[in-house]
Amino acid sequence: MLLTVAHYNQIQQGLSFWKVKLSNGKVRTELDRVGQRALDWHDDLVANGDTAHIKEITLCTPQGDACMKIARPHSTLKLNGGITDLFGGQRQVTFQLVGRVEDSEGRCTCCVWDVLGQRLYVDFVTSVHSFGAWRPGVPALGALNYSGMGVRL
Amino acid sequence: MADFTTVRLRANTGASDASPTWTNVPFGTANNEVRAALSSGSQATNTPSASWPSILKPSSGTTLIDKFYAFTADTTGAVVTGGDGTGSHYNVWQIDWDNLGTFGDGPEIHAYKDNTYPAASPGTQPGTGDGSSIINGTSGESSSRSLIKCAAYGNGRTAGGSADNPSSNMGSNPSATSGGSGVTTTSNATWTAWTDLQSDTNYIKNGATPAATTAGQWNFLLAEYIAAGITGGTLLPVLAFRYTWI
Repeated sequence: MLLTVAHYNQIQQGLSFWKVKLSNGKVRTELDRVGQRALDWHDDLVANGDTAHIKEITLCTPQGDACMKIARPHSTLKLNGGITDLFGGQRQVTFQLVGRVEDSEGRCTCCVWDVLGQRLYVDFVTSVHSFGAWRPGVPALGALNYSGMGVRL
Repeated sequence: MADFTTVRLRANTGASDASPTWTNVPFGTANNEVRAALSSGSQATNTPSASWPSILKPSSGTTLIDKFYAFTADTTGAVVTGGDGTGSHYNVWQIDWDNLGTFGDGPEIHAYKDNTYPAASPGTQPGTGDGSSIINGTSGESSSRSLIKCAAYGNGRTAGGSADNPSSNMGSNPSATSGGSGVTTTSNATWTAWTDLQSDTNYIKNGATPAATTAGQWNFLLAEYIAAGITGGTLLPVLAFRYTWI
């Protein structure tokens, strides 16, 4: 995959980005462009059924890449977290995660780029039904909208 | 889905709860801000920020901040209707989101000492007053709970896509010691009890993941106290909306 200025800038800003490898060998990243807009997980992967063909997902972070092999169709997780200061207007990304649902019970293994802590957490095991905190001091997420991510249990 | 383009606070500046006028305060824009005051204070809707009256600490116990203003320019403000810190209202504050994003789980309302979003030290006062004076609370007056209290209604927008907003008062008043332990999760068409907002320790979570790509407005009430035991100064705690998107 050819890294662009956009990918470089994302890392330089302390953020991460995901990329997926499909069974046909194509690689897509969240910083790809689709016409005039950015590639969108739902519109460009879930809606056209490509989440069935993901063979690998990688979270590219300022602390290196975390790669996960995907064996089952429709088992890839992707989620972003953010926080908005309602009195001040500041909005910032707090984390980005990718993961793999391991079984029909919803157990999952995730890689998390913690933007506030600037730290990569790998092999974090939790559940899509009760997503826990990957470190002390961050709130647990609880039940995820996994179907919106294209996941089928 | 991409991130939401609009996630903002809005305040009722209309005639009453039943006849609200929702004023979007485009925060992040110069001179747009929420200001706190006492109803007995000398402030007005055209008082410039530099002249805004201070709130004096009580000599004992706590003082409820009973008036909020939404300003859209330095000398252009409006009283927030129902912003008296009681439960005798239902349309006071809303979090408003657009139809461009999809939540990854139920969003949350938190409060922090500042926009680095650190953990609280309940009951501990700083040497120099800052947002932690409010968030930490005092071991005496607030039993180490945050001095910011919140009650939220239902889901704003249900997972199925229905609006879920109140039409009657919350019904009970908070006290300086009101609070929960951990997360308070909302239920459809129901007010939560008053809880304190203390960093990531005590907060409110929407009990539903609101419907995808559907705009919503989530109602809540706020109360804030000043306690005799806090360290005074410029106290600017942060009210925050934590959310995820797919």
